[in-house]
Amino acid sequence: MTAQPQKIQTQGETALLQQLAVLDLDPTRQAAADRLKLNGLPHRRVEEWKYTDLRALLKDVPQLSKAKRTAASSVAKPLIPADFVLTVVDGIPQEISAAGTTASAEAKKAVSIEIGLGDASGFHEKANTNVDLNMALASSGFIVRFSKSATPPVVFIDHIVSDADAVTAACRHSVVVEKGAQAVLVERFSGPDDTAYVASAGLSVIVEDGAKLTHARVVTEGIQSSHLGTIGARIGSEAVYEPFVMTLGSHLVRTDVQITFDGERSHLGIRGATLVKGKDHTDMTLEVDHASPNCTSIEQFKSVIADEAKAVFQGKIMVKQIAQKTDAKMMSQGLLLSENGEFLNKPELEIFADDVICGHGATCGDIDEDMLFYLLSRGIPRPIAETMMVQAFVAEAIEDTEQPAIIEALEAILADWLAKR
Amino acid sequence: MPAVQETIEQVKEIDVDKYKYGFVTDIEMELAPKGLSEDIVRFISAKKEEPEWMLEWRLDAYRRWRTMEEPTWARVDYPKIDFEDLYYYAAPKSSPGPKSLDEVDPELLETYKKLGIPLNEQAVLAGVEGARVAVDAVFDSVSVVTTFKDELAKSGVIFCSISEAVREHPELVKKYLGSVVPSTDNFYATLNAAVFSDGSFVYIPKGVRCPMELSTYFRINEEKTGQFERTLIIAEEGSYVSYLEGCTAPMRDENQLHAAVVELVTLDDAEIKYSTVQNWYPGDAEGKGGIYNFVTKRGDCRGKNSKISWTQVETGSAITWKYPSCILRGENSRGEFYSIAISNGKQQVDSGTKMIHLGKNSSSRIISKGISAGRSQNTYRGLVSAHRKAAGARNFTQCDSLLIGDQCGAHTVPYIESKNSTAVFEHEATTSKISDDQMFYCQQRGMSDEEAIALIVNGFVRDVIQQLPMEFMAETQKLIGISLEGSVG
Repeated sequence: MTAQPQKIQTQGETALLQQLAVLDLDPTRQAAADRLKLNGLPHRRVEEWKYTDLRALLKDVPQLSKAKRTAASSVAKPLIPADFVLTVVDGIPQEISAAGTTASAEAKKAVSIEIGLGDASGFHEKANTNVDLNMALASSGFIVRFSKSATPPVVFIDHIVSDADAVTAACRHSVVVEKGAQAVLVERFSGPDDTAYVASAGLSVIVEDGAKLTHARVVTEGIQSSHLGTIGARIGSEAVYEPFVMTLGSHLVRTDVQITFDGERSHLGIRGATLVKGKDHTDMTLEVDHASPNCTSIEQFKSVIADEAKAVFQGKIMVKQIAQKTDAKMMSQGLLLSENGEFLNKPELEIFADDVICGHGATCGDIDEDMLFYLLSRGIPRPIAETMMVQAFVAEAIEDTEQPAIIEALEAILADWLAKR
Repeated sequence: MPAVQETIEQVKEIDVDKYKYGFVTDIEMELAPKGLSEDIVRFISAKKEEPEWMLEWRLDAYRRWRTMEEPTWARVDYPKIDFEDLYYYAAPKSSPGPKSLDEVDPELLETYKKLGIPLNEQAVLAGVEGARVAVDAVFDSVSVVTTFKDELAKSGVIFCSISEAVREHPELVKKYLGSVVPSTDNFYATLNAAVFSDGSFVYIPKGVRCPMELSTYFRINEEKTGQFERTLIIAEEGSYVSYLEGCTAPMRDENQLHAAVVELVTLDDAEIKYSTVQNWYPGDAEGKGGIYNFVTKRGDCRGKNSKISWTQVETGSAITWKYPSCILRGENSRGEFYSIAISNGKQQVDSGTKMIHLGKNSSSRIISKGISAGRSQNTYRGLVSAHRKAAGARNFTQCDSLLIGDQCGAHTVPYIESKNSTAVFEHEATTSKISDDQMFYCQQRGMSDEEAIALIVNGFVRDVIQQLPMEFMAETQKLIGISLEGSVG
């Protein structure tokens, strides 16, 4: 009578499990693979995936890329002038080429780069399907350590999918900013528009005591692709972590960001912009764990939705009982440019400490008619006026980034997206 | 400064009685056998002298309920309820359906007198000269008495117990019952559909402004009983009604289940104002006993320019799990939700609202104030959604939480879903403790900690209290003081 209905495996699940079965996995990766096998891909009845039904959206998990590691042949123009330009092709990190390195002697001394699978201690302990997927699939990545230097060295990691056939490109990097060090890290993801490849991008970050990391991730994948990104970061005492996640939509982009405050008097400033059009589906899921007292955090996200696209924001601020004197502010805003776009927003607060100031705000709507009229009445044609308004809307999040080069790069991407729309 | 004086008085009162409604009325009761089966459903239906279609409706719900699983998604934690260990029907033994107050068991009247509920029709509420409130008093599973019926009937208003409505106005009940909360809606709503024993029925005819406030007073008395009441309010075109609901229960060591369903329907230009002061027994400081309050409340703004406003003050119950919602179907329809949820001791609250915008230019407003003290957990969970056709929908949400002490939790889980570009939604939430500056200011003026907290909290919830009908305002202010007793230090 109480027989459970047989769970039907989707094509995506079958493909995923078949691949995991033949991989030679270490215990950590095997544990992640086992969890995936047990639970399957999450669907909309799983709260964290309520708006992104991965079971339905991830139609296939193509073969993991078998590309060989080579010396990076052609180096694409980095997003910002960088001391080190690292390349990942189809999920395989390429040899660090001297050509891509314009680092000064000082920067060379402050940065150590290796190829391999670093630890993933930046992530939360609680299992998360996106993290598990990356853990199980990724077999390599860059291990980057920054030590103390006078000026922050800049590392740019370019992720390219080049295969003509659809592949799964998975990698996981591990970044440590040592005590008192400062660094700038920029990641870019791109690929062809004509294949339905899958990119699984993992990044574990440790910002040690007194360190500072400015980080930008730019996701500009091909329109048919599925990008499953994760960032797990731990922040020590008196440390600063400032990430920016810029997402241009594709068939599916889901980014899980997990941040933990491990020390006191630290600051997190996480910002993001999501630009979607066509039938794009993007999902930004953020979990900030205030596990230490006296920390501050700002979370600011902007979503611009055109055509029939769908943008999801799920942000959770968790304040543990020990984390007294926390000051956390989260803002998520959506701008719907078309009738059929969807903006799904879930900003959560989970608070167990009493001496805190926490707040969140959420808005959504279309372009303000009054403001538009103001511009039109000054002779600015409607399309330009609209573009100006969108630019201003997104710029609010971008311009708080500290590195002028990053601001410039992000604004260029925004302008380009608007021009092509 | 009258506010200060009032606060001091409240705090004084607190010392004497904490939960003053915790007494038990010793009255002979008629109980159905324990447990739930088709026979029990038939028993309840027979007791209520219901027509065949009603019994069928109940049985359908019962059979479906058997296949359903208890939901676990809310942020509340409690031992599994043994649904077979409950009485589903408990009624005071007396002649069925008393014709006048004289026929009601004096013990019962005494109970309501103790609770401060005026069942005597001549009674005038203290302080509100001339105000009259029609009351439907529900004791365990049955409606004891409904006052002012004749006077209401003069203006065409029907106000009676739902069992009476099933018998006397079957066409209305048939048309509207389950049309807002279908019997298949959720686990507890389905259970309610199968075993609901009483509740209130209100029908306001076209163009009538209900001449007085209507009110239902729910009292759980018997041990090991579940209370399942069902309220149905229909406001025809251009009508208006304000409805109040209050509830208390004796102090017992065991947990008792209260799973009610409330359905509201407003047609063109109609308005329903529904206010609740929920003060079920919350359990003792260690979390022993108390009521599980699992309620489905939903209003359907079917007509153009119709309006439904929910105001709730939640101070009682061991666990509160309810989301009074509005389906804004009509053009220009409006939904409002004002809530104060106070939790102390080991209480758990998971409450909020849903505003579902379907109609053009529909608008909604949500003001929620959560206060958690002691070791309680207080969650606001709300949904605001605009469907494709809800052009020009507008929502403003504000949910503020106040934490008193470092052992409690306050959580906010809003879902904001927009599928229409012309919909404009704004949401803001804050969580903080009572600021030291405010406390210092009060203390400096000679107030004790508890007085100061009561004053500040009253200020914090003022936006919501102002929405309450006059009769409830004073009571609520007092309740807030009582609920927070012992939360300092």
